[in-house]
Amino acid sequence: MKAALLRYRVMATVVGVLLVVLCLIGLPLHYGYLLFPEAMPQGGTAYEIGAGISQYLGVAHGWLYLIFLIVAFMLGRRAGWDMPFLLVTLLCGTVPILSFWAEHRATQRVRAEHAELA
Amino acid sequence: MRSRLIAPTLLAIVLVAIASWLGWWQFGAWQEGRSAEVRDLTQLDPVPLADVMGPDDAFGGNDVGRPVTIEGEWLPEGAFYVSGRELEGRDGFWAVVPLAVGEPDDPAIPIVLGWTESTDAVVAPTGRGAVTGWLQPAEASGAVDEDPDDDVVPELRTADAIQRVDNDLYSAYAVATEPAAGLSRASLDALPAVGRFTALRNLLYALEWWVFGVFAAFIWWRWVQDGGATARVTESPT
Repeated sequence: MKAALLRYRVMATVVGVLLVVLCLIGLPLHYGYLLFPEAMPQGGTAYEIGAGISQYLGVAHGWLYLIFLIVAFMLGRRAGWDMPFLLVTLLCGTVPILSFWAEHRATQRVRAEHAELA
Repeated sequence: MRSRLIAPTLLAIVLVAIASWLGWWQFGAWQEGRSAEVRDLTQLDPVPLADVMGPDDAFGGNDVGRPVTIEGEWLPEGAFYVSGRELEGRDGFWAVVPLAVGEPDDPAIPIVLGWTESTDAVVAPTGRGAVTGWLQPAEASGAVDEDPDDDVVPELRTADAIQRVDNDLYSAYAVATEPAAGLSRASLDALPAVGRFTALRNLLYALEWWVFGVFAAFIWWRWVQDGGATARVTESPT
């Protein structure tokens, strides 16, 4: 259980950080030209950085999210989570920032219900 | 007691369907990206036509748009126009003249010399000639020639072109990279724009969506198993 919780927390943090970089840094740089065509032109430095982030981190994040799903699912089964709690935890992993709250919430629950871990 | 299975089962079906569909979408994009990459040979260095195909060969799918050099004898008596060709939104014609590859009696390949807005005032070249052109497969969309007696045809079809010359024809034509005097450069119809995506990324996303779908089905399956176990325990006499 302790290992499962650690795995879950590591993956949740990695995926959460990547998601923030991807959505809050990569996407604005990549698609900023739609809003500010002069300041952030297509093909400019910002655009190129954003395109690179989407291209490489995007794919990496997708596969890491899969690993996150699996470790979260395994933790949920060990800890005896109900299906709604599990689904919310899995889905919150897709929302930037909110994923950190979901990780906190899940960790709190596991610690509260399994005193030996606290 | 089965009714509580309905909503989660529907949810699982929807999730699997969405994941499958998104996977197919990415898979299609991957294939498109790949074929676009395969076809974009136009920037390669030209090679002699004989290195790509012989007069009796079927057109190789990997050679669409490959630049080739062709030397031979012009066959101006076989010149014709292909109608309905657009250039920058204007309707016009391709001026086509067959070029016998090698000697005057050797098999010929139709050469698109360029685009023109009208069918007059185009002089067909004569004598020996050498052309660099993008290789294209002969067209065959089945367009009907409304006036078979004139020199204008709706598409560049080998069956049409062969009636105008005594030579055999290649199952291909070439679009001259440099248009003849008085003509504009014809654009390549058989060349789609190069895909903006890296094809591999689409394939990875496609696989990923399908794994998501499998995972959703797996969660649903475990959930049904768990539910069944709980139900058995609950229903057993205490």
